[in-house]
Amino acid sequence: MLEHSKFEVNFRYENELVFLDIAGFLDAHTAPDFENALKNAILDGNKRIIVNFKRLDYISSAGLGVFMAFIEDLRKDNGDIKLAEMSDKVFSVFDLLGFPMLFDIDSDERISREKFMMKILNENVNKKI
Amino acid sequence: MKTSTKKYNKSLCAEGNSKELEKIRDFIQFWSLYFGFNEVDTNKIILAVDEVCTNLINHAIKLDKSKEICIEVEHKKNDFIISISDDASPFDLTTKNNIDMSEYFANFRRGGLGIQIVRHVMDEISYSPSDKSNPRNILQLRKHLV
Repeated sequence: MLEHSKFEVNFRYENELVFLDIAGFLDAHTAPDFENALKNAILDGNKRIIVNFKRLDYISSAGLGVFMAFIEDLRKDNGDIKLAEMSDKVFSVFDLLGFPMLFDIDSDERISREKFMMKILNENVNKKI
Repeated sequence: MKTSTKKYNKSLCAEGNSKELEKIRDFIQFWSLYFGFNEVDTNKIILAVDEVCTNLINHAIKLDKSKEICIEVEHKKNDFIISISDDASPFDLTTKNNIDMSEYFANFRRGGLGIQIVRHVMDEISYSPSDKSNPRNILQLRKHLV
């Protein structure tokens, strides 16, 4: 269990996907840490990103803002950020302002992975055609 | 939700530093639950206060740790009232226009959502800038206990 107010992000890599496991409290104090982590993942060439919220206890609008910072450029580059495994409490903050209109929010990261893999498969088929 | 075992006075002062948000959230959590709000409403109130304080820290206090935010809670009839005061230059969050979220998402905008959240989750918001009789700006949030 993380100490109150702490925030942590860990990376997992799988084929063309990167998973960010976030934990703790994502507020104005910790959002810059998350923004740097996400920025570094993108600068490393990752454009298909799944953020797993399973261990995130809290998010404020400062945390929501981090996702807005990167989504436009990623989508222009045929990438995306998918969000998975939020608690009801965290989902309610996203839902309050309509963020599910812009982001895929999945109950299980395997669903997010599946969506990305289907997209990659379609892209490869189109390339061959 | 973690139930705090700490005891609080009905007022709390914090430095103008985002590191203090944790302390502020714990304080609001304690009193919101104490006044009888359930966990869902308590989470909304915590979020609203966090958003107000974040705005004050980033825009009014501008990370000047010598400035102070003070929060006072009271209970009048069925209302939970939270007064957030500061000694920085007046910054009236309540004058910000509502954001059209469809337009916001279409243009991939960022920021400015704090007051939108506060309006969604609290029942009343009011602001009194500092003047000769009162040296502190006060933003008051009110939530009805149904």
